Amino acid sequence: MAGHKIKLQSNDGDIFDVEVEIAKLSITIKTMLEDLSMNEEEIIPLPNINSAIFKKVIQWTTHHKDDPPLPPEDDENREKNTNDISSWDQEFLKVDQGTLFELILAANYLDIKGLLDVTCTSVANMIKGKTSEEIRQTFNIKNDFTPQEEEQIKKENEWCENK
Amino acid sequence: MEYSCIELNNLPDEILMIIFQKLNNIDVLYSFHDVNQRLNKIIHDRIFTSHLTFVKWSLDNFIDLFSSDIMLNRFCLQILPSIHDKIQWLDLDLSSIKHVLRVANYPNLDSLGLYNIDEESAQCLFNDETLSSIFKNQITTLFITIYNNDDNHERMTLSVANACDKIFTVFTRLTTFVLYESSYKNRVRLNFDNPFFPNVRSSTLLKLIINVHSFDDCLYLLDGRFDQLHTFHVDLANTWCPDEIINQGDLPNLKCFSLSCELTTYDYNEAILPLLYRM
Repeated sequence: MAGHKIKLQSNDGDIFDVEVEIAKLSITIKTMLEDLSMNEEEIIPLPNINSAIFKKVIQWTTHHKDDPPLPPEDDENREKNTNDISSWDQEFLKVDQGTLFELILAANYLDIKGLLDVTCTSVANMIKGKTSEEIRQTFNIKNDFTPQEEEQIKKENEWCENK
Repeated sequence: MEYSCIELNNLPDEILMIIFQKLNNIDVLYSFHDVNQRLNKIIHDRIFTSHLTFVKWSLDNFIDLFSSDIMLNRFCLQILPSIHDKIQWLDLDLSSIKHVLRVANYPNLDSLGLYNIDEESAQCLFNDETLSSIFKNQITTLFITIYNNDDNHERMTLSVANACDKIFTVFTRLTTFVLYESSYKNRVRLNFDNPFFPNVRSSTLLKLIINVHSFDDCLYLLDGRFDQLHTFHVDLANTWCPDEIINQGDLPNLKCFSLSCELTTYDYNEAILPLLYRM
């Protein structure tokens, strides 16, 4: 029924009234409602998502509620195209890295393929063309190789650059 | 919104795999090789290491993806030696073939894509003693595109046929051979009165995908020289019927066949139907 709502609770206690059709873009919630016969009056807990991230998820699903389903991917033969993010999604994804990664985790937990796809593509775009050192700086990744291993890598790097 | 402290390195392996699969394998390896131990382990998964494509289709030809010597050296000196035993398939432009194939042993390499090869470079490459063992003993699947800028049509077609002749001399274990060519000038024409191409034959080849000049060439390839062939996809520049159809033996092993031609098909009943009856 159009406009019918369910209650979803984030892990910090906020309760959201969300239209069923929008909530069902999440396969996790759809399964809870359909397979587990959850009463639509019950509050459905979402223990892995905080309210700030869930607001973003609702914003995304509301905008994309009428999108056609994504075609199945053929990873082996698919042309890797990371340029096909819509302008609305690009604007939506102008967030700090931490929020972007939390959105990815939320999309994965809620099983919202479109959101997972676009957020992962956005991170892939941040990676493309960067050297390993630039990757460490961009994503604040600690180099955990031993000093001996590190020395070996440095030597190889010098060799590559001087050759 | 509160600032979140989650970082890329905090994401579970399955999510990192999804992100990395949005990129080409060489982008993943170039950016993440030796960043840290955990990421090194993830990018060494066979998903990212078994098939490396160093060329990209752009407009009307394949271009090399090595954008700089630093990138080529990083792959040749650091990355490839560390994953050499995981690589099964390499797609390479002429300019980087020797560099890449010589930097390590590739014990599991069985498929090669060689792009923008010309007759001269083919002769030089296929006669290279350091690579002959790979070509002869390991490669079972070969994809080739031929680069040809000769203005003389006769010389061009002869050059392509000579390259094919050389390929079947060197790659003696081929089961799949694909000659990608969209350009009319690089179509294979084997049916010259002279010279003769004695090596265009194989008792191991199972799958052949090729663009040829005319229906004569199609029949030439089905005269028994590839007696185990079970899949044959051929694109013709024209389907004019030859004056005399010389080979008419059955093709009992051929199970999958397609024939295409952009031009009007002439002589369907006289040429193509009899061929279909042989299968």
